[in-house]
Amino acid sequence: MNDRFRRIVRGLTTRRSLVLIGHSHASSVAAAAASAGVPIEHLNFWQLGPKSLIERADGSVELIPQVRARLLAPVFSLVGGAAHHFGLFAHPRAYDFILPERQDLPLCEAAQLVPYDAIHAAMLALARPYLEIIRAVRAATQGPVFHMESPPTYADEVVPPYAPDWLTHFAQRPCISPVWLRYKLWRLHSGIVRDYCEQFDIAFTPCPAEALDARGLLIARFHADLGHANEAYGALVLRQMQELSGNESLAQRVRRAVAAR
Amino acid sequence: MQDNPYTNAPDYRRWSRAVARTASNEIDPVTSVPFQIARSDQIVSAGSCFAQHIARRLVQNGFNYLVSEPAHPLLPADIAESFGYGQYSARYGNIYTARQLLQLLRRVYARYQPRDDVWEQNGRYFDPYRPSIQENGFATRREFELDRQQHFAAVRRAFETMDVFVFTLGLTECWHSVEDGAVYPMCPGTVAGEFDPARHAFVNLSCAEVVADMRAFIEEVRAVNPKVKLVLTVSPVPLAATAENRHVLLSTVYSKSVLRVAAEEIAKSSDVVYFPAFEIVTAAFGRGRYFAQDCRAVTEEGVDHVMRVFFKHLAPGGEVMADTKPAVDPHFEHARAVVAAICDEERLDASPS
Repeated sequence: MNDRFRRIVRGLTTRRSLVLIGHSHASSVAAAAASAGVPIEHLNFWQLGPKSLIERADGSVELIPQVRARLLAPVFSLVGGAAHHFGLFAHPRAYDFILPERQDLPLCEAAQLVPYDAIHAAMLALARPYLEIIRAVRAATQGPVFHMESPPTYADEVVPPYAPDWLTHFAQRPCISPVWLRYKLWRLHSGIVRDYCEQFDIAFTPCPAEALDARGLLIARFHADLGHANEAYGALVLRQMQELSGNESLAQRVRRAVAAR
Repeated sequence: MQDNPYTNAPDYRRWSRAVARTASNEIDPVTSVPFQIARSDQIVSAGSCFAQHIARRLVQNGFNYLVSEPAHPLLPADIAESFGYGQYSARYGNIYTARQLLQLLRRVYARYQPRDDVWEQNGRYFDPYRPSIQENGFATRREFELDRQQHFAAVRRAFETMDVFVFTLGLTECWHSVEDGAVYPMCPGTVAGEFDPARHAFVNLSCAEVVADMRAFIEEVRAVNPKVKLVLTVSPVPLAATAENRHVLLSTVYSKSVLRVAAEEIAKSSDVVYFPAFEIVTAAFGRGRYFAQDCRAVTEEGVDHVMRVFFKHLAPGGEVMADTKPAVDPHFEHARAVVAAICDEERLDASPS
């Protein structure tokens, strides 16, 4: 994390540990908090393991009591956020789709047009297990829950460096999908998560505007790898979390919720 | 007793031998066929819903069923199916009438463009000529138009490269536009669109009209593909509803009778074979077991019988069921594995909880 973002994060204070729960995207925020000395309760499903979830026959999940007990509102979720990652790599049979809210975006030449509704249904099926976890977080939290949008994709001219063990399969730059397809998939994914959050009284929080260029793509200095943003980006998300926590009306609601526990 | 035309008639010409004394599941009304389908032949099919059974069985039995408009492999099989992929060679949905088939051919070659182009409802766009393809229509007008272009190109590819075309005649009743005669597969207002009595009219096609439409189709498709051989069938599935003011059973018998006679007329042409799926399923020897509880849907047992006879005569070597496990997209699985690897790295990076 560079000095600028360290200063930003240190400039903000919190009354108590922020509660962050999620998967891989949460790591950048946790790392930023650690660097800045910001207290954070980080519940990482990679570390909690599959036994932290109780799966029901209908596909829904419930968090185990030990996890539920740590969810003191406000809770910030970076659960999932990778259901669109299948589109990071160019498919041998090129495909594309039209995003209804951004019909101006270009289509890949000679690509098979896939109906938006079909892509939506396919991505929803991929995201479903993670949405169920977000719902379980909501159910286990007495007070506000915020879901932080997963980071956007990067521009073609600044593809992040590959991690070494990917080289065996994706050594060539052409294996990366066209930027606007990646962007549309990210937007579609965010839309699915946002709609879900609205259904269950979870505040969907868009990614920090400072991390985006004029086209809405992730600025190069925030890249970590093909699918994730780095600690500097995490610092921006951490600041969003602190601002949301510092909101007075929100703080009152939080106190009431905590007192009620 | 003097010789007469029946004296030395083969068994298949006698009901007592061909039907009454033959085990019902062995009854085989096909006596000769002018051609056979090789495993290498590219087969395209279209028609009413019964045609879906034929397509499915051809695929299952390893025939070279040409799909010129496949789902993208990223789409799971159930989603692809719900978007009309894989039902037929291209995503045209059910084609119930010969007129609808002819219209499709003329549209894909830009010889005809119906004035009723698209139905917009609540910000969604429906194709009047394949309204069931997407349950909720297309999300945008641009997608509707580009998808149609893609569809037309796929239909042209199918028509131009197929070796065999299997068409199932389903209905004589249809609805058309009074503006230019464009025929709809479904009455406007049923699946999508709005019914307007000033713009939409009912037609019950006559035998002569079905024959004329079918012959025009054959002539025009052979102009782009002279080698194609045709197999005609009549769907045994009764009408779901009739627009005539009479009992649906009467309309069903009328409609199927017209189609059966029309098929007979058309099959007199060279390289068109009539395949008696209708007879196998509806004849009395089935004693009703080839129809489901609603007396309309054809049972798998009925389809089995039809396809057994089909394979025996028209497509030898098709008796063995192939593995029908849905294919998994290797790219998708690979990408998922790599993404999982990325996320696994994050596990190492995670801060202590």
